[in-house]
Amino acid sequence: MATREGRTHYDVLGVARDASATEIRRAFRDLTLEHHPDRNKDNPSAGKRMAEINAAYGVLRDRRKRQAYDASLPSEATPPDDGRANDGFRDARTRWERADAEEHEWQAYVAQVQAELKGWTNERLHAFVSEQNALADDAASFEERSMHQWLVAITLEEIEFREGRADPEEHEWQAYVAQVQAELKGWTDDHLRAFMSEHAALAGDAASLEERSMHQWFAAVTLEEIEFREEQAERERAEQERRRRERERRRREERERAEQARREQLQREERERAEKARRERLRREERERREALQSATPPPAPDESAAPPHPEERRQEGRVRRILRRLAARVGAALVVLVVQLIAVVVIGGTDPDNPEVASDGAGIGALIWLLCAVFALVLAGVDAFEKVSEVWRKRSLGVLAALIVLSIVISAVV
Amino acid sequence: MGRVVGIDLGTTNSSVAVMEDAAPVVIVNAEGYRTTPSVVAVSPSGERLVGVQARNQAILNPADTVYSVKHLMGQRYDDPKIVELREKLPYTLVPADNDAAWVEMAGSKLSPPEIAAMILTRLKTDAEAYLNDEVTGAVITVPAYFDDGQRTATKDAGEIAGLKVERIINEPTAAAMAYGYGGHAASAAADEPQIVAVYDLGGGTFDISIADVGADMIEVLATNGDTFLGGDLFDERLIDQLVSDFQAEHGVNLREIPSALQRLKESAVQAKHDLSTLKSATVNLPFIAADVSGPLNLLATISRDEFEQMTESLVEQTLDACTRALDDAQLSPSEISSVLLVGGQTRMPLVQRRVGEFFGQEPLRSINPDEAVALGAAVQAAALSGEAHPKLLLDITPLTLSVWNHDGRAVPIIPRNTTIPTSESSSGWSTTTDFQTGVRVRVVQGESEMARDNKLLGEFELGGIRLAKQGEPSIEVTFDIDADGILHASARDMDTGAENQVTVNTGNDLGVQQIEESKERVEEFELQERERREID
Repeated sequence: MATREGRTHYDVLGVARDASATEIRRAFRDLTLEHHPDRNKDNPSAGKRMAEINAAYGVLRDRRKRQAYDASLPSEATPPDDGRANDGFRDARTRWERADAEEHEWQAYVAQVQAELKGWTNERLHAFVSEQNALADDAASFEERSMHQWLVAITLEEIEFREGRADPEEHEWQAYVAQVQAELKGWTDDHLRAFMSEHAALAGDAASLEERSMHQWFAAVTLEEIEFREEQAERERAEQERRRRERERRRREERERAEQARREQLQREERERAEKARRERLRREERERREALQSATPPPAPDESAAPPHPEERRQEGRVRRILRRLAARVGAALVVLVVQLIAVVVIGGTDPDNPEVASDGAGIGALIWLLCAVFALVLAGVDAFEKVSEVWRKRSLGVLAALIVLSIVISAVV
Repeated sequence: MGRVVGIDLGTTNSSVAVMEDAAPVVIVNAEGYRTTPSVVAVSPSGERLVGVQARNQAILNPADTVYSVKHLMGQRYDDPKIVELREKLPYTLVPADNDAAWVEMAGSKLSPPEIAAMILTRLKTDAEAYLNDEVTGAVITVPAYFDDGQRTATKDAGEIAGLKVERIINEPTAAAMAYGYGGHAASAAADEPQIVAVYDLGGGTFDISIADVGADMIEVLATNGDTFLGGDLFDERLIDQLVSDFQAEHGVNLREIPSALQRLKESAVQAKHDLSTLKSATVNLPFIAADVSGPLNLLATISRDEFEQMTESLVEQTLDACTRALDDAQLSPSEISSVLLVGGQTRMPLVQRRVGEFFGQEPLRSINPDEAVALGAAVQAAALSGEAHPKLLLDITPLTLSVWNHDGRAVPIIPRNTTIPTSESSSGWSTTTDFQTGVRVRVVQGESEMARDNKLLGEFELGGIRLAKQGEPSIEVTFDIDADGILHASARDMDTGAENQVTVNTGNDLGVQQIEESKERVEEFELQERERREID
């Protein structure tokens, strides 16, 4: 895939197809310093140029992206194979061989030749082919001849490329390569390795150039498959590692959450304990304060046993006093009744001195009733004084008392 | 010609710097501080306030005091992050006509760029007072992990403030620039490429950038981050704890009392700052609330250990982002030559310790975490106006740019961490029904494989496609990212040559007219403000 202008990323950076990472980086730095819009404020197309440079560098800096990009390029960069250029000139080196220093040099040369050919007109290309063919025929040495043949081949390639006509042989070859690669896919790792070393050995022992290059090609294509698998395994390992890290992270978060929850629980409990302790302390303080107050008050002196225990000292004191006052009033009232009775008895008894027996009899009954009356009045006064009797009952008992008094007076009078 | 300054427009604080005598300096504002709080308010008496004054009255006026407006830049009202934020902010967000999140302040609806512009205008005024010269342009920094919409909104804010935005650059990159310019890098072996990790944990955002600081270039290799992870989340953790303790003790939820929350917030921030140097800090807020028994006081002591426990998971999140950035740069922590800490939150000892452990080295302390970004922006501003020739800055795009495929997948066109400016074409697009004459190209940004999980940046239509069966027409989509990191997309019918090219509009960007209107309002406001100051 070339850029819109038909230039490859290599063209944009001005480096060879086989440029090393350092070369690409250096080219990028130089071009950037020259073309960056920040340094070319007056040039409106600088941004566009820089975008192109960045896009090219973005692909070529990354090994994997670069490989994919290389694969998508037209095959112009690959030296001709399938034997055409192999007879003698470049030994049996094919594009499949690992790149060593010599190979780099060769590819650079190929690229250079190709770039040169690109610039030629069709007529010139055709002329060049016939010229080189003639030279090959006239060549003195084997080397010389093969060089001319190679030049013919590469020029023909360019012509074919321009005419958009793919070599049928090339098609066949590619189909064959695909077939072999598909076959290798199905093999086990051990099988692949065995196959590779076998062909490497065969290549060493090969009698002819063709045979050797064929074995080398087999070894190389197998090695590619092995490397591909290793890379894939590496990727899987990396993926597993990533997943493992992810799992660990999740576990750590889980633990943290649990820890957090536990801490919160502890904190809550702590708070609750503190709250309880605070309330208890408040209650205890209240109790202590009250006890201190109680012990400071002198014990109520009068009628302590009769007085019902009451927490409120003041009220208790008042109540005792009230009870005493009432008691005194009732007892007084009873005494008044007693005196009245006594006077009545004396008066009545005195009215009949002639009949002292009867009088004494009458006085005896009168005195008995009076006594009853007095006792009842006293009891009533005592009970009433302690506020144990409801209002209704007090009224009723007062009525009874009055009736008894009247009755006693009446009886005394009658008798 | 006026001067070009560097502005660090932060979530909580902003600052402005300028190149003077071949060295960048931070400009002191009218109140005498080197940073200006990113707060804008309208007082009850109708006065507009910016900076320290706005922040100081926040307790009394929480509903009309706008802070952290950076979080709202270029966001939709119904974005999940914004929905979450809406509940926490004491001021009101409202949806604009185009669904963008806007702010309601003192009864009027304002766009986030307009509010940011008020802050920028203040910085511009301060810079003009300092330089005694007109300031016409600025380099404004944004978090590296800002998407296209957020960048465009920031650029709009600059325009509204009457500044020609010379460049939007990434905050960690700016810090690397300040570092590279300061001669720090040169002191190491000069030829040896210095791989620098910039760990930028600011008031509201987090970024990690890995940059190659060379002799004549600063090349950003990878970046990662979170635009909703910053110091304010650390504050929130502390506030949460204090609020829940208070509720447990007194049964009163302080979050429901705006003025109490604002006081608590200030005290929590103060306590956080104290904990950077002290082993424990006290929050003492008498009469923060009341219940039937009378006024309630909040008195709490937080130890550094407790605070570290509360916030450790946040620091872990930042380290996960560091791992992703290193993976993208295909580097291991041991290959990092220096670690720069940027942003106020990196003063926290826990952050310094964990970052140090992660990279296996002590972070550098030679740069001021609050000022590095503004200084770097000033260096870049000088480079763009030709005042200085520092190292050339090569930044990257933080998020993958994709096209929304008809099956719901996002098909990446420009992968994340691609050096900008860049251009990428993707052919092989076609129609999905017979005789379809137009296609709608939807551009999304983000790392999810499903397009709807990414941020929709915008969409445009390509018409005039020739009548054909489905899949027959051949359409090429091209994305160009300019040096500001802003995307221009185009589509072309390869058969008819019909072409449509747009600067991707996120739909919540402001139109030209809106920018002009906002500009007038902000200018008027600044004029009033200046008069008021003169009277003072």
